[in-house]
Amino acid sequence: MCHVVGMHEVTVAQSVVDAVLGEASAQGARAVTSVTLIFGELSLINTEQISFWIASFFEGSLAEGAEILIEGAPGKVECRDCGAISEVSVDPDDKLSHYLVPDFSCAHCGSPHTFICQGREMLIKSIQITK
Amino acid sequence: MHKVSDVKMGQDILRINRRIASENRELFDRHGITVFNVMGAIGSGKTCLIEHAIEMLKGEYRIACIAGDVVASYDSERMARHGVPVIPVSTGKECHLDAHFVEHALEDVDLASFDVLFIENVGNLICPADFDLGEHAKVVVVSVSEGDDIVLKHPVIFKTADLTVVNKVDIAPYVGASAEKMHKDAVSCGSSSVILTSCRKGEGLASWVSFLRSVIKGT
Repeated sequence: MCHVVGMHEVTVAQSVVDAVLGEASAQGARAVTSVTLIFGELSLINTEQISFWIASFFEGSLAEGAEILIEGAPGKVECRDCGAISEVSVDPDDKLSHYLVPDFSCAHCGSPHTFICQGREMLIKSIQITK
Repeated sequence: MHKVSDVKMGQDILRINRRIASENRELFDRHGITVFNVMGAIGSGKTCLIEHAIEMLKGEYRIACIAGDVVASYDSERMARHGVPVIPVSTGKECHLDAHFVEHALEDVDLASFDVLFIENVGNLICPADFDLGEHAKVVVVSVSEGDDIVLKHPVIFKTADLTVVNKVDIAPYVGASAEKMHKDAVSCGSSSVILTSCRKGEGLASWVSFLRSVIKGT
């Protein structure tokens, strides 16, 4: 894994850039025109920062200027008591929602004994390339 | 016109970290080593709690530590004074340890020479939460001087913690914080277990060690 100094958005951005450029060259691409990423709403990633760093690292590569699209995935918890899966409510318009106060209790029975079953993922969904 | 095509990747960005973390965990299991990932803000008392743990457990178990910090020498000297091997990992400007740092830290040690490993994980409540190191239990240390709303500001790390330690409870009245509120908030975030401690006064340290023992016996 390549390490660049800085906050953890930078580490994650570098992983994205390595994977995208690796895939693009494996596909024989002339250019990468867009990259679609998925960040779960409970991942502790600031999407503005990550876009900025990915774009910076793309400079001078065949992905320079590629559009960076970011999709969310709602947080979900599974209840250890009743087994129900419920969505964790986070306000997507709240700029601080990536770290502010989601409620992890089970929406079905109210139990606090749940575990996060979705929402912490970080994925590269797809890339668009020209050949 | 160049041909445009969409390439589906579906690739986990943290897959390399996940893979290395599970390799670390297999390595620890093979050598019968129980590993604690101790996280928490700068000044929350992580090093002090580890020092107490070493003192209370070193008669029963062979202990080693990884001191991960932006400059690791200060904390590693403190831990080494208790007569245990310490591997300093200076992260420079990196705000967290990842599985890769831990993998390299283990290269120069004899894994047959210890039973319990404490990993002190730099110092903040955000970045370490996203990175598995291969540990058996995650501990989050939070001090009352961080303000008693700190737990609700960082719910994910408390949700994923096997133990939350609310530390420095003796100074709560002087900093206007309620340790009981922090305890309640950690429970409501879903932290598996919560204890209150004061390293200075010795309060709660028996609960700290009893948690550690229960994890060691369970692995």
